Amino acid sequence: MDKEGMPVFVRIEDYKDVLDIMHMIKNKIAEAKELLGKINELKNEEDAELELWHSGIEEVERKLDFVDRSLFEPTMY
Amino acid sequence: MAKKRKAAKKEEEPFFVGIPDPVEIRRSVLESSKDLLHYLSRFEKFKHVRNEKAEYIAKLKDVTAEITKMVNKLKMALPKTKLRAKLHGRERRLRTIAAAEEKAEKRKEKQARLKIEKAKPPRRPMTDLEKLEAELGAIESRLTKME
Repeated sequence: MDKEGMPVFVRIEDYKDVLDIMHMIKNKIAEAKELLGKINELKNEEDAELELWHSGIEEVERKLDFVDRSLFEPTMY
Repeated sequence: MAKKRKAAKKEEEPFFVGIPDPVEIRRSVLESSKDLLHYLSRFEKFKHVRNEKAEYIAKLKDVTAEITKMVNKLKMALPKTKLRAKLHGRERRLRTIAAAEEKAEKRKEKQARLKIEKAKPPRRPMTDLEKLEAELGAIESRLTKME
């Protein structure tokens, strides 16, 4: 067997530690995924709210344009 | 005298401008201010969402730091060995070529960096980001060696 194919052994206590750590890492990764999902959800909420603001501001602008036009076109008596 | 008084009165006379469709204008102004107030109240909700998001981001940062610590712990628990994964010949060749290209690129980058560093003032202590980048660089070089 060449050097590259040589087996590697881990002490049984260390192996248990490794399994424990792996388990903890898996849990943490699941937690991170959940957090990312929540962040994404909130980001979508933010985007939707911003979009709403955008259309709202446009609506207000439209109304004020009408007022502006009306004020600058006074009626002649 | 009477002429003067008449002239003064004429000057004081207010001038009115007629506004067409006043009801519609008033409605537009009121609706606009109502809309704006509505959006201001929504802004409070938006702020709350942003704060919540910031909290989650902080939590995520903590969790990522914990994962990094655990991975380091895992590295410590595993034996230090120069074990290399056995790869198929073609894949190995491709990786070797890629590694050589990367090495050449890195050498160029290093040379460019050295040139810049020569012109730079004395070093300041490393920031967290720089430490992380250095660690990342070390891991990458180890991975390249593995190939």
